[in-house]
Amino acid sequence: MSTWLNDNGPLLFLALLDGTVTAFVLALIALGLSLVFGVMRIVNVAHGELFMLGAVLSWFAFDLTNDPLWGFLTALVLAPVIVGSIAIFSDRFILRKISYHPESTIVATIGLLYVIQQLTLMFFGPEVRPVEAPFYFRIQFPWFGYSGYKLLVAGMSALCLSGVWLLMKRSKLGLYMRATQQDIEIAKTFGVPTQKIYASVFALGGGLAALAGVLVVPIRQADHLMGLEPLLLSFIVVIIGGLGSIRGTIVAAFIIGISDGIISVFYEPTLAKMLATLLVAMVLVLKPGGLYGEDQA
Amino acid sequence: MRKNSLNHSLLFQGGILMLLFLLQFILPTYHHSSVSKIMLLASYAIGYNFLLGYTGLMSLGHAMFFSSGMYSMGLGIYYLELSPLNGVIFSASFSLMVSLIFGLFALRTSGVSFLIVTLMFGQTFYLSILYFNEFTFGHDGFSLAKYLGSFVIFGKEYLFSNPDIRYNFALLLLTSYLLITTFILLSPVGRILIAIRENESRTQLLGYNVFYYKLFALVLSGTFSGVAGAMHGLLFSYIGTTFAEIHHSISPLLWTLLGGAGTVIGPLFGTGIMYYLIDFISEITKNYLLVVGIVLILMIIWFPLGIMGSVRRKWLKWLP
Amino acid sequence: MAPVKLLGTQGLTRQYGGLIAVNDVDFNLYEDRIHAIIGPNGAGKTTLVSMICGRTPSSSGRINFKGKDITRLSSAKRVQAGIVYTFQVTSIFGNLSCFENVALSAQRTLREQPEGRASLEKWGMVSEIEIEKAVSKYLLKVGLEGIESQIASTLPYGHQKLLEVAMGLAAGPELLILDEPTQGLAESEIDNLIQLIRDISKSVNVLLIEHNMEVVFNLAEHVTVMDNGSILAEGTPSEIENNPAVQDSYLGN
Repeated sequence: MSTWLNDNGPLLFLALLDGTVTAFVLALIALGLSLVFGVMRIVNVAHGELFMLGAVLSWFAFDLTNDPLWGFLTALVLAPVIVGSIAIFSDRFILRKISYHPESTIVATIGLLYVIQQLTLMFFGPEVRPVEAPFYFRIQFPWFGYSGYKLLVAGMSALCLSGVWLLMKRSKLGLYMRATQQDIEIAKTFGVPTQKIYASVFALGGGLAALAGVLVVPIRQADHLMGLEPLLLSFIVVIIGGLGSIRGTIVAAFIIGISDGIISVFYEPTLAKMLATLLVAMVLVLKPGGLYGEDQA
Repeated sequence: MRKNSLNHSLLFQGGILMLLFLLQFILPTYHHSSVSKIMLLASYAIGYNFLLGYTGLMSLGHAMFFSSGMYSMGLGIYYLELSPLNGVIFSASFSLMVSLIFGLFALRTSGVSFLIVTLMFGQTFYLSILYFNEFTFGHDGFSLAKYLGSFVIFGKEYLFSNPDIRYNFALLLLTSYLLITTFILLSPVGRILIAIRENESRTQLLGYNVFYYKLFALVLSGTFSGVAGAMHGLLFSYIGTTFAEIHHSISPLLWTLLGGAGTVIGPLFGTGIMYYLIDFISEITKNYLLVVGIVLILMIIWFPLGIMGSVRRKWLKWLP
Repeated sequence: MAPVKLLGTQGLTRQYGGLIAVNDVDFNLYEDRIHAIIGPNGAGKTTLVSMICGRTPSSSGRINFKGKDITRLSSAKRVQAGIVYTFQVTSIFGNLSCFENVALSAQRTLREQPEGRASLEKWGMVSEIEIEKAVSKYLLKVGLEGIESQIASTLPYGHQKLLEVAMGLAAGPELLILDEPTQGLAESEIDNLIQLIRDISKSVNVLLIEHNMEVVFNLAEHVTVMDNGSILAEGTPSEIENNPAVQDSYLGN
């Protein structure tokens, strides 16, 4: 055991570090999906594309400003706003028209997925494009150096997660959102503007995904197909955490992120994804409410 | 009253099948091959529709059934040196088993959860084809052409890749799927399946164990899809992972919705129209998926019944 | 002859979180008399019969039907055993024709008749002619003859309720539970329904849940009064009418 640790300790440490960064980003993406499911009772299949849009917009910002730091800051502000607006637009002109019927919504958001993906392909091209990190800073560990930017990503994600947490617990919007989540009919009778709440939640979900895209792109580059994997991973997270539960989502993101990091480092990424998808299917089958969710009566 | 419906629909479907049979003598080569492909894919969609249209279960994992049929047939021929016929029989039993096991798990969920479970199982299946690439040839897929050989009908020797063989085998598959589906749907079992789609808990309270009927529909749907996959592999001699991707699970959903979920013949129309639409657009732009997306959105908003669904509502009330 | 017990519950309880909807109820139902359950809204009447027919799982307690413990049977199995429930708010298949609605219910009972049926029919292959005969019979019984091809949701509300009753009858009940059958009906329709229920009760045991006191006292031979999830009183209609506890809590207002 001790020799194994001697040989593999640094590798394990690296896996844990990478896993933690992944977990934070994943939590951010999945939280958006989870909020949308919790409040609006719909599954947004185009959620991964909103993440991809964040990354791609970040590349455009970098390309336009030609300065990593300014590009990053511009994207950090603009990408969530643009993607949020797209979300509001989709809510108004698609989802509302089909009355948020669960299955129709899935079909419609599959359509949206293709539209966003293909439009990106048309304007951005099929290439995989790198975006420079806003700064270079390496933290030197005894065995290897680690990107300071990755740690910033984790930190900023944590900040955003706390922000959403506060928004839900302390603000009027959060109160309205929770009321709508509990029972939309009762919320309506108490004068909650549920239509506006729906639009805001959908925009917030999209904005979070876009933010995650902006943060991640210097680590993993941008391309028009990058939305699928985070979509599946956040499905996994949201389901294991219990659909609609914030705490569950964050816990599950850590379980999935860190185990994905470890399995990917020591085994094969494909195996990691296989096991994760199988796991989530089984969780859904055996415990439909998720680990933290209320069991469906 | 059901007898009427049966007679009408057999006549109607018979007419369309006869038309398809005659078309092969006049179609130019290009369209001849397109129609063969459409009939194969439509068979897949008919299998898909059996679950969506008649029990109301929406799946995003049917590529798993299609590719399990395709791969079991292909790998059976490659490794076990099965004859093509035995390969298809093998694939039918394999996809039956896959859908049975899958159903026993997945049918514990319903609605959106069922959808996600199917998506996840489908993805697991896709990833496992990639992971076991030494056995399945991974991303590259493989060609069956060398192993299929030829066969003899009426003293004449044919290859599976022969266009006429393709066309008529596809037509045969389509015909049998249409007939089987129609007969089941117009039987008391079909009545129960439709009742489950309309109101599952009420059906349970009429004394039916809904789970078994859903399992039956799922297994039939999965096996239909699997055999369609096997026939596709056989007639086009190619086995590949594209048929296991999520995109290939979404396609039959699109075809079925466009043609009219819950109508026997609808998926054929949906597949045909979508096939030619994409074919046409591919000449203009590579981004034909954009059109797929737009069609999906517009359809779900303004045309939720699909083509044959609307036709049934307006004119042909008896359409099954 | 002593009355034969058809259905009995012992200590039947249903909790929703902290709320106790039905609390430790011992409810007995005897053959050959129309039994009614009355009580104010939220008394637990519908929850009680929902547990009896298996729509709602019980938190604790037991249910016996014809001397057999059915507590663990699925709702489908209970229907097969003869407990049939018709809904308070009609729950017909609105998009299907009236024929299909009744046929759905009738084809199962036809299939399960024991005498000399081939195994094919056990798998659902009942001849359509037999189904058609049965459907017309039940539609005639509730006075809806000739509406077979009409789409169920296009029927007037009163007719939908009758269709629901026809579906209940076609399911071959030994105990037919009618949950507020007169709710939402006009006066004339109610008189009709009273006649129909009396007619049905000649061959089928009827359990009635009803708000309309006139209907209850007109039809029922035995009445159970529920309040706050428990049984408040039991007896013949006249006993109930004169029961001071019942008057206080219910009839008085």
